[in-house]
Amino acid sequence: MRPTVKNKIALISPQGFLDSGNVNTVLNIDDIEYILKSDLNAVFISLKSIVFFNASAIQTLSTVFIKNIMAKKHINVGFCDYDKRKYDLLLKYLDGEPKIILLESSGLVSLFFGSASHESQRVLVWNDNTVRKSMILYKLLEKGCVGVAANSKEEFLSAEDNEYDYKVENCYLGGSGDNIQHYTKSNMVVYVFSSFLDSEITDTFDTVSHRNYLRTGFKVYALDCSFVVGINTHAINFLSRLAVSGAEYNATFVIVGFDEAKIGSMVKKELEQSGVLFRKNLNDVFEDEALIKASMFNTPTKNTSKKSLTKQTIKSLSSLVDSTIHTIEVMTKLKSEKLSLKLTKLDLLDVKEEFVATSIGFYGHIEGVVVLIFQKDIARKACAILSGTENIKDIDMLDFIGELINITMGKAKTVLSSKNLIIKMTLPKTFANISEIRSSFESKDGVLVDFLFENQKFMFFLTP
Amino acid sequence: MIEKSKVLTYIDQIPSSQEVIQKAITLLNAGNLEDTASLLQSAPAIVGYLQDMSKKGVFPIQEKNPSTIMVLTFFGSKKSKALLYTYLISVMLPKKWRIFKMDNNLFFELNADLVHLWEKILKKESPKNINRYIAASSLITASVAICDSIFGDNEDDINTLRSISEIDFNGLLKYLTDMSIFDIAKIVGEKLAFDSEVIEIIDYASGLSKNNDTSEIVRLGKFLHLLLFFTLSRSHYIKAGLNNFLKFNSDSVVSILEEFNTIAEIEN
Repeated sequence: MRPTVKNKIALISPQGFLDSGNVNTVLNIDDIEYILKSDLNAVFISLKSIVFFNASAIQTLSTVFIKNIMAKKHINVGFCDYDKRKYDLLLKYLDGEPKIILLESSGLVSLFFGSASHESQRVLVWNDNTVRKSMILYKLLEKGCVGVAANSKEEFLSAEDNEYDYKVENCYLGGSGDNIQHYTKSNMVVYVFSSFLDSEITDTFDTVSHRNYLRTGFKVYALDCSFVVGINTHAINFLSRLAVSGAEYNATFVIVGFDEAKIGSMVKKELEQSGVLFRKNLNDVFEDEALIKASMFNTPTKNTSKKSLTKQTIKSLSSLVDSTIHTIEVMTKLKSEKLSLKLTKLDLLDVKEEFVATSIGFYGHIEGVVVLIFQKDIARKACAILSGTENIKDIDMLDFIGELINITMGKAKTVLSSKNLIIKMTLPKTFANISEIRSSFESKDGVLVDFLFENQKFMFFLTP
Repeated sequence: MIEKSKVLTYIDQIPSSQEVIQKAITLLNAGNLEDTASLLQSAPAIVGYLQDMSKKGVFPIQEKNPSTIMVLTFFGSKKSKALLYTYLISVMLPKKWRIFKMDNNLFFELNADLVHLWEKILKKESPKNINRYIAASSLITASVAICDSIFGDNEDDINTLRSISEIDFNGLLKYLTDMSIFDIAKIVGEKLAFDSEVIEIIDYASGLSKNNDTSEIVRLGKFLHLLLFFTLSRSHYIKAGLNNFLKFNSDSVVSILEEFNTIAEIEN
């Protein structure tokens, strides 16, 4: 079954019965190939609509997860969306100590493994197994959440739901993948490192994605080392190289959670000489006025100023635009009207209406950055099918349009691959108003295509 | 794009139930095979269909050109009636399956699978009404064909929307047209002169009804909902894309799960 992908999480949602007769169809060879090819943090099977499963099905799926996915790629795999009865059965069928992850809800999958930030969210944890409880709390700390351990089941059950963003009870994090997680918050990229950092960092760090964050215009990178217990010379050299290589993009690197006591004054000095800043915790980064300003800054660098759209990229413009417009038409149930197409800078000086925007970089056989600029009402309408309602908060709408550009570009990626053009994508950035859009793109040349959706303006901008 | 008006046009195009089938069903309800055979002489297409079906299956009829009475006796009144309903829903088959990866053979196999277990459920839950309620499973099968026909012209849009959201086909239809597949099945059921209680069972089989009533009809609706998901969990139906036909409401079937497992002979 083809999974749905959101926030770098693939969710497979079978319905009805799971047994040895259908289990190989639920996760088949094509699905595995798709998962291995995709840029994912996690793959989970939702048991929400499963009314019956047997031992054979669970054991087969667990084996496929371990042998065919985890063994080939650093990725988190497991089951989610179950109640206590199903959780007990899962533990029983997996001999009490699963090598995969069990999470009560898909919301928790997103919390632990999604690309969106869940910084400062409050999570109450209860598990009668102390080791399991500690693992959950550790993972929550790693994600920047406020994990609160309940001292008893009674305390857990009596806690008011509105005091916490999540309540975690019947979960098991036994088989987490060991790749370096990364997410974006306030237009900053956060890498989360843990355990001991050594030469393996070169394998687990996603250099390709990082390079493309730089290309897309992300200016501030927080390297969260709060959960690192030690670091050797190889890893220090790696971080130093990372900072130096970002200099040509005017990028700022901030190491979080490392102090002199942990790494020694010499090493700290060495890294500072490479241009790396040090902060105690992530809050210090997100509240730092200078860093916030830097994250919004999009001055063309020496490198990027030389870039221009290639002939091949321009040739692909219609595929990119068509995929985007078709998707938005279907989502809004409205027809679009194309107004103009021009080579121009994105000045947006005459704009009076309220707009939001999202951008995404792509690279591979062709390269560029796509910016989708929506008049607010059309963005709200387009997000209705994703959110289930048109009455969404502005902040949620930004998350949804970020998801939307992932979808439209995913569709374009399929169209382009049929023309033998292979592309990969970065994580999306979002912009809450015209001034944010302008500060990021006003100096950029590109192709601007204007549309109307029932008198609501929509702009597609392609820039190098 | 799919709009409500297109759905209503589609329903309009479905031919109403033929009078001869309605009469035949009444005669079969009374167990009167001979009069049914005489009646069907005026409908060679239906006779041809029944003869054709009698030559399929594990134990086909051996006679090269069986007479109508021979075919009806071979099937018995209940099965003959179920086959007439299948004939009725066959008018709804899409010219080409475009949404689900299936063909007409798989469609009729699905119908046979549903009828087989539905009959077992009725034998246990409502033995007196087997004849009256047996048609419900065929109307459910018909809704699969209806869904493919409605969505077929908008394959790209459907694929786009389904890649965006975990939404099932029924939820999608509701989002686009404000009509669920069950709303359509009910209208089609009325048009094809299905029994009103059968249509009521279909309503409860959607899994959306919040009725806590313990009446037989509600209970049978729950059984049909669970039966649908039991069947659509089979490997070849998952491959066909039918597992996401509609949203399964597992909470609504908890009260009947054990009995269902016994009837369907499911073991842990």
